[in-house]
Amino acid sequence: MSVDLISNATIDQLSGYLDQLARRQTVVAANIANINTPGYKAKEIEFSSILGQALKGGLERTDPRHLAANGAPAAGRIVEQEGLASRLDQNNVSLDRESAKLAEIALKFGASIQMFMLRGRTIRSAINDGR
Amino acid sequence: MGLLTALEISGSALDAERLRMETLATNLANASVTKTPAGGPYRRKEVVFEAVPPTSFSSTMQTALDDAQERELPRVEAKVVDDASSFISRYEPGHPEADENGYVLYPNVNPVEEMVNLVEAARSFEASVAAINAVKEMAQRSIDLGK
Repeated sequence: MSVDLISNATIDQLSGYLDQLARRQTVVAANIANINTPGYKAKEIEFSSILGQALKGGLERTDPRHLAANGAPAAGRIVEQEGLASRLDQNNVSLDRESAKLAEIALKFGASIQMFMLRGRTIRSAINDGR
Repeated sequence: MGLLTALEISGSALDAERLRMETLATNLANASVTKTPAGGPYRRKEVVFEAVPPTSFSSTMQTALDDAQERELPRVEAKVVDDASSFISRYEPGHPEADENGYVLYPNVNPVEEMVNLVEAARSFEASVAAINAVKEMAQRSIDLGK
C-alpha cells in the first residue's frame, strides 16, 4: 500500500485552485479600485482558455521563444468582460456585481483551506497512530 | 505572492478616493470665497481618475517570467485639476467686490453636486476597504494552513 503523504492529487489540485482564486480576487480588486476611472472596462479571467488548456492537458507553447512551464496549473488570460452596460463616463464596472464576486471568492477560498487542513489532520492522525 | 498585488491595487484606490474627498471638502469650504490671494473668486477644483499600469521594470520582467498577468493590472491615480467652467455672477451692488455694474463673481461650486460626489467617493472608498478586508482574510486563512 503506497500512500503519497506530502504531495498527492488532492493537494496539487487544491493549491492550483487556491492560486486561481487569488488571481481572480486580484482582478476583482482592480475592478473595484477603478470604479470611478473614466473609460475603464471591467476585467475577468477568461474561463474558456482555462478549460481548453485543461482538456489539452497542460500549457501549450505557441512560440518557440516561450518559456516552458511544465506541470504548471493552467492560467486563464485576463480579458475584458463582455456585454456590460457603460455609464456616461464609459466605465462599466458594477459595484454590486464586483462585491458579490468578492464574497463568493472569499467563501470558496475558505472552503478550500478547510479541505487542505482536513488533509493535514488526516496525515497527522496517521502519524500519531490515530490519537 | 498573488494576493499582495490586490492589496497594492486597492491601496491605490484608497489614496485616490481620499484625495477626491479632500478636494470636495475644499470646494465646499470655499464655496463662497469671492476674494483669493491671487485675485478673483475661488475656482472649483476637480479630480481626474486615471488607470495606470505598474511601470517598474522588475514587475514587467517578473510578469514575463511567470506569466502572472494580474501584476500588470492597472492601479488608479488621481490628479487635481481646475474646473474651467465660468464663475457664477450675482447682482449685489453693496458688496465690496462688486464691479461697476454691481455684479459679484462667486465660485463655480454647486454645494449639492459636491455633496452627492462626496457620498459617491465615500461609497467607493468603502468598497475598496471591503476588497482589502476580503484579501487580508484570505491571506490570514492561508497562514492558518499549517495549524
